[in-house]
Amino acid sequence: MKEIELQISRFIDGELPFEEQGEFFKALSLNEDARNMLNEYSELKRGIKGHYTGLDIDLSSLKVPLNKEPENKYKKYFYFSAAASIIILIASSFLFTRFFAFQSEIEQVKEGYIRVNNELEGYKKERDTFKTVLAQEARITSPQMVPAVKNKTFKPIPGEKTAINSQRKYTSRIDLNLDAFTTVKITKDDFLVQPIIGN
Amino acid sequence: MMIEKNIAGIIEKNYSLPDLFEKYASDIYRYSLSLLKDTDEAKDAVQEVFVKYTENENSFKGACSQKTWLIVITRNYCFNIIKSSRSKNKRFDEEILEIPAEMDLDSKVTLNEALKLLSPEHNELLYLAEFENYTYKEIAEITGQTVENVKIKLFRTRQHLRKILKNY
Repeated sequence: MKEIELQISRFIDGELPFEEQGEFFKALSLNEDARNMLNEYSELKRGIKGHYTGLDIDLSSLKVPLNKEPENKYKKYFYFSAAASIIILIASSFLFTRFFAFQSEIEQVKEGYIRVNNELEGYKKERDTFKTVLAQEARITSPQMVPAVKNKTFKPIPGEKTAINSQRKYTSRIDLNLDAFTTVKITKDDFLVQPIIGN
Repeated sequence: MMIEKNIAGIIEKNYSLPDLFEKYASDIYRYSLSLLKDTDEAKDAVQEVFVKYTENENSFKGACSQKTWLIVITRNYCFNIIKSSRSKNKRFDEEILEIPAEMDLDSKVTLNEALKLLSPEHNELLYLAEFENYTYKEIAEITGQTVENVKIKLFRTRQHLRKILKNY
């Protein structure tokens, strides 16, 4: 009887598997007590349902926060992101300012370099010009001048003194008549500042 | 509207808090009453359940229906109340109560009186099965038991209730 009672309990809950229902209905048909029990359990189910349905429920006195504001989860991040934006803006402004200042410094250095380079080129030209002129003047005033020839030994001019035990492979002798030149004391500053010839 | 599935896999709508209250407050009250057996405590339970729901709304992942989630919150709340009252009053235990000696067994016991004699655990099973029409599987998930356990306990509860009503 306990077995059929358990099956009745499962049946009224709608949990009796289909394959067991054939045997269940057969047992019911043969057992009047089982049928009475099924009626009682069915009535119990209806009674319990009616008991809870018929309850007098008055929940008007409850204080439930029904009008809860929708949680704006982004609100709490707003202030953080605003502060971060301001910091980034200030940092960017500072960095850009420094960058532009650095750029202008670079430009100044470049200009300085170009100016110095141009000056140096000028000095080189002046030096070369002076050398050329000097050589020309030397040739004009001294026919006895012996040009320098690389890797050749000179035969000494009679009467001329040569260096004893000289290791030089060539000799250049310039015999200048300096009186042909204007007596101008040339210093380092003159060389760099003003032209020498024609002054 | 967000779509979600309940334990049985049926897709249900997602209700706002006022809609939830309107729809399920009475069921929560009945369930609480089946466990706590006191109308005032059951009303308090409804209030607490919806407050807890409001506080933990974001943790709802949609693994079950909103109603089932409310039922679980209600169950946890009510059993906490029961445990605290049990620790104070050792008279109760988890088994089905005996019929009190002072009760007149010659007179018919009403269903209401008979239900009050059952323990909260057994009342809960009857409420979920008979009134809410949950399946064994759903009841097992709500109560944290196995399906077999739910089946046997429900059967025993009905047996005892029938005996009480028949004045055995």
